[in-house]
Amino acid sequence: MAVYVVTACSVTAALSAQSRLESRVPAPVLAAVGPTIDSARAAGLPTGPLEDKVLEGVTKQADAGRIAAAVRRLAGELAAAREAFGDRATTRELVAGAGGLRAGLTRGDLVRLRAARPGQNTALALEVATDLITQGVPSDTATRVVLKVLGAGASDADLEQLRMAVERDIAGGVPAAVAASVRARVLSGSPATTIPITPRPQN
Amino acid sequence: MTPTDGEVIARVLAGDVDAYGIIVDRYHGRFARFATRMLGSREDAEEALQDALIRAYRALGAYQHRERFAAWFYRILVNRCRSVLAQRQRRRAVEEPTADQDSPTSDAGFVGREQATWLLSRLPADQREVFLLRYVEDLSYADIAAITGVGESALKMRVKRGLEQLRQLLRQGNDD
Amino acid sequence: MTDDLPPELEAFVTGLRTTPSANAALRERVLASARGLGVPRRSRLPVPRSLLIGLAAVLAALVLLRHPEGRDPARPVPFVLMAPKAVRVSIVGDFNDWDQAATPLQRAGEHTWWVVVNLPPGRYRYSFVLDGTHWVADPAAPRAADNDFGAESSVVTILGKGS
Repeated sequence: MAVYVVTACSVTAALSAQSRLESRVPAPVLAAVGPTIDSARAAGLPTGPLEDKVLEGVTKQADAGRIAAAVRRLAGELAAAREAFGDRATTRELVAGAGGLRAGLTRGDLVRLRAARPGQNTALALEVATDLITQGVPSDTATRVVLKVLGAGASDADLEQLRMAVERDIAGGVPAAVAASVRARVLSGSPATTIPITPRPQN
Repeated sequence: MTPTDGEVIARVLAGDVDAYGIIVDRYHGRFARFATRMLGSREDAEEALQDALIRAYRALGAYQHRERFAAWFYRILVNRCRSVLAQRQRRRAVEEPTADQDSPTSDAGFVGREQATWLLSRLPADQREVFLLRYVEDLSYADIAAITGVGESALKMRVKRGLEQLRQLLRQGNDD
Repeated sequence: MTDDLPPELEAFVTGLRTTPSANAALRERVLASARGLGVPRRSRLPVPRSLLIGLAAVLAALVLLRHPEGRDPARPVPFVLMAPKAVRVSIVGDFNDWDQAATPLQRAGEHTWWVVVNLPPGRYRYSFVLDGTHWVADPAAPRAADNDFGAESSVVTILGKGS
């Protein structure tokens, strides 16, 4: 009988991750996504988001092929984000970068957005840009708007405020690109346009 | 009074790690039987079973009690067996009785262990899997569908084909 | 389609039913691993009852907005949906392994369903499930950029400390 020596040290994060899937995911799906997840792990990419994607697909009753395709696509996007950001990017940054690429940001956009906050976690900036795009703001406008706000020293709360304000304006009927541009001007402290007030005649 | 699976799991989650031994003892025979028949090797089966038991232990916090523990565990074990078979295929190792081996001879009506292993190895893995779960493990099609993720009508078709194949192989063996 | 076992296979199956003998070494290896791993972690997020009661009073004001509350690492985040015809509603997402049974919503009045989930800072994709079959993105939240399975999801972002 093969000797199978198991110690606490030998139980890897991979084992824990696969337990999360194996208790919920049918065998054909596991077989279909396993190679992609294994490859991602071997490449040093975070596998948590890939597992989330598998669980989402299973819950939505997608077939194994469709789930596998979704996982492959996400793994590719994570790899592309890592290529743009470098090895020190956090998992959240990589996921945010992958989401941005899916929404329409370019590699150049990712690099610029990340460079706008050197030494800080830039996930939120990427997420806000992505959310603006999904609300209808053109991707180049979204990038420009977030960069403008970051350039003015925006905090995370400011970025979140930008996102929510644009959302409200769009819900109120303002064209998406206009809403984003206007809110960015306000948040970045751009000079307000002075409207001359004509005194009303006194009767 | 014998604790239920749910009570044992609750004990483990409350800190009594060794209580997991009750689960291992309770189900080892059944699970080892399935893995051995599925993989055709006692050695591989024990390795797959050990791996599955550890994976199940780690996932106990996610076990929801909505389904029987055995069904939940079968899913993990089926997945492990499939992984082993996939690994074999990738290594192209001939660990199952080879295709060019003749069927072991038998007295009419008696199927020895060696012949049983050979016969099962002739079935494609997906037919073997459902055949074992249905006729050896006595699971319902509903349970097997939940374990394997395959619809019931597809399962029944695999069973039908598997039975036909086995009958034909047995007839050939007895004719030799 | 009957799947009764053919008579000529009965002896074969009977032979297959013998169970291997117990394996004390395997048992000990599994338990040794379990001891090394420690107590398995439960996967559900706890929602304190007092928190639920306190937050119920502010639900109406929070229907359209997502705001982090307080500065604790995990924030209570309300999720609300108007679904008058649903019999049961749950929320699934990255924070509960997309498990329909994990986080059911409760009714408030005839049309409103709600739940409060403790979420650490981060970004989470999620969706509502009505009656186990009907997928609904949150109308009050941004959409997720990806739609891989034909049912849109939403995203919620929880800011961290010091934001």
